[in-house]
Amino acid sequence: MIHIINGNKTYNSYEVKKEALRDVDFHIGAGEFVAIMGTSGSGKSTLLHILGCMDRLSSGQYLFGETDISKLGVNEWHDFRREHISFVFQNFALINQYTVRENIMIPLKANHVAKTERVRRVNQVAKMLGIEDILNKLPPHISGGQQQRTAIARAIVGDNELLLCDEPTGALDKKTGIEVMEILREIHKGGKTIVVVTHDAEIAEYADRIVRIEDGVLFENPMQ
Amino acid sequence: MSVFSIAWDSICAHRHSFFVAVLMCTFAAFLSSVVIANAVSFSEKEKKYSDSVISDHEKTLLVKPLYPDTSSSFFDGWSRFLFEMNRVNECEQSGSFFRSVIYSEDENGIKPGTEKMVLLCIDEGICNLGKAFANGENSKLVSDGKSIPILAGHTYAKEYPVGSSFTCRGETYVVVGSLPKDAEWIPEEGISNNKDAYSVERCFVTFTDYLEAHPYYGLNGAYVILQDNANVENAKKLLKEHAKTCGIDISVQTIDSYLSGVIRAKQNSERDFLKELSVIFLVCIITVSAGNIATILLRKREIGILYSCGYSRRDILMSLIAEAGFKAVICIVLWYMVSLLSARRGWYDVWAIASDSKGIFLILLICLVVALFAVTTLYSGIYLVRKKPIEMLEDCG
Ligand SMILES: Nc1ncnc2c1ncn2[C@@H]1O[C@H](COP(=O)(O)OP(=O)(O)OP(=O)(O)O)[C@@H](O)[C@H]1O
Ligand SMILES: [Mg+2]
Repeated sequence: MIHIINGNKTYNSYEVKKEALRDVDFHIGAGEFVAIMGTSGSGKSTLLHILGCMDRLSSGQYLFGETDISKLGVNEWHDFRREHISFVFQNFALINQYTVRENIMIPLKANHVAKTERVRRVNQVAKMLGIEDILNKLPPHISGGQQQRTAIARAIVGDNELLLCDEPTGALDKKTGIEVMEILREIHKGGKTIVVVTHDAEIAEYADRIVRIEDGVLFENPMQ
Repeated sequence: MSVFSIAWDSICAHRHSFFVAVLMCTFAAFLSSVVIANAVSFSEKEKKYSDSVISDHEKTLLVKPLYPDTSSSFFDGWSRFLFEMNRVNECEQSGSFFRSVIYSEDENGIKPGTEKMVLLCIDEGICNLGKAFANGENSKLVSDGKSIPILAGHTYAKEYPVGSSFTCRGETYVVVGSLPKDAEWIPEEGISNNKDAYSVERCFVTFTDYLEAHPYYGLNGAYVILQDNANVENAKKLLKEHAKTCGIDISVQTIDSYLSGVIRAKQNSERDFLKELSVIFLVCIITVSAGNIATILLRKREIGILYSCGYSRRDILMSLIAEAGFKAVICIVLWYMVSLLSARRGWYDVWAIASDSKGIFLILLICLVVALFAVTTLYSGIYLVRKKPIEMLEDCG
């Protein structure tokens, strides 16, 4: 489903050139559960942002299904992300002033889903993730695990085919982290393509396939 | 519709900062309207004042007391020119200000203290008198509402017979009666005999009376303006001599030099006004812009999240504009309501919006506020949506 062909990403900020990705060739099939592992600063987030249409390659090609993402104009690029990709951020990226319910609703509003349908979908995913009773609370008033569930609920409520998770367990303790991975596995069983970034080998075990990235270079590395 | 619902969501979520921003902007708008109101009322009063000097009476001499106390004005420090102008009005209103006209029909010139030389005091006393009559407090003398009824002093009786009228400083006075010698008018009692009567209710006194009244009112001198004619030097000399014998400090000036002084003062005050106006507008512009830009840019992370969750650039920009629209409307309505309330309490000239002055200023000010909101919202909104989502989420990992 996804192909990155000869992808390079160079950051030019602060007058310093930083090659965050170098000649990356990467393929993800539909319905796969992939883990990207690597040390800090190796380029994991950079790769995920490019996959998620949050950032662009400096050179190379990014194909998503039939679409050549690298050739899309700005608005089409954003529309494509809205229709196909969901993101779970390392630090949850919840809006603190919105309730859990409103946070989960954001992608539905962005897609102009009708109100009754919105409410139904939110209740459905909240039930699935076990957060029905905190829907009216604000993110600062709930636990880290609940915040991560909220972030995941927000990512899956729109029913997009690709789910990208940047260190979904990074801010959680071991037990809660494992719970979150179990949830992701459930979601994967429902037919979604999932990419998880992590530096924790135990967490990566949950994926079907593990790739390693070192200093911007990608290594396919099936099961150590 | 959904743009408004996005905007409404974010207003509800940020109600505190929204409230603060609205108050800031309202305050800035008020500040500007205060200056405009003062400027308008200033220039109108100023105009009336100089017009009357120029045209009302051909043989006009103006006598003004020197102000004994200039530090009492509460406008002091607010602005030099407002201080100057409001001091005049304030003194007029307090009744301690005599702006007086001396009539002389004598071709040979002016002789202070003679029966020919009389002083007409136009002051609060007369106005009160007029109002008292208008209210029917003295059944003999009722105002028709258009003119102010006055009593002529005994030295005037022939010059201003009952029924005659004149205008001074834009107001029409009708002589409805005359006071006998050594008499005064007291609101509750009517005309009464009183040899020492120098109260403000006494409308017509001789120049001698006036000079004698000076210490009584705590005034330290008089300021006399002479109309330029052949006798001006003679009049000056006489007045000076008279002042010496009375022990009062009298400044004498010709009408030409007085008028050029008025014009100069007007130009100076206009320049000062422009300076103040620009400072206040700058304050208004900075407050509104800073408030609006800050409330948008400080929400970079939130907008980045909305953006990365699928909101389109158009949705975000339009919702920001809708939000600024809410803000501007609330700000203008608040401003208008407070202004009306203050007008009901009688502070007409404080707020341009409530004063009887030009509506154009009000419209200009509303346009300014709306334009500021529009420009700053567009500026900060476009600045944000031109970024890649990940740049807005930089602090989100
Ligand atoms: N906006 C940027 N400007 C310049 N350099 C950047 C930028 N973002 C990332 N980099 C650099 O690119 C490299 C890869 O960054 P990236 O965030 O992808 O690493 P990571 O593998 O996600 O690390 P971590 O595990 O710490 O999150 C790093 O050396 C980083 O300093
Ligand atoms: Mg990272």
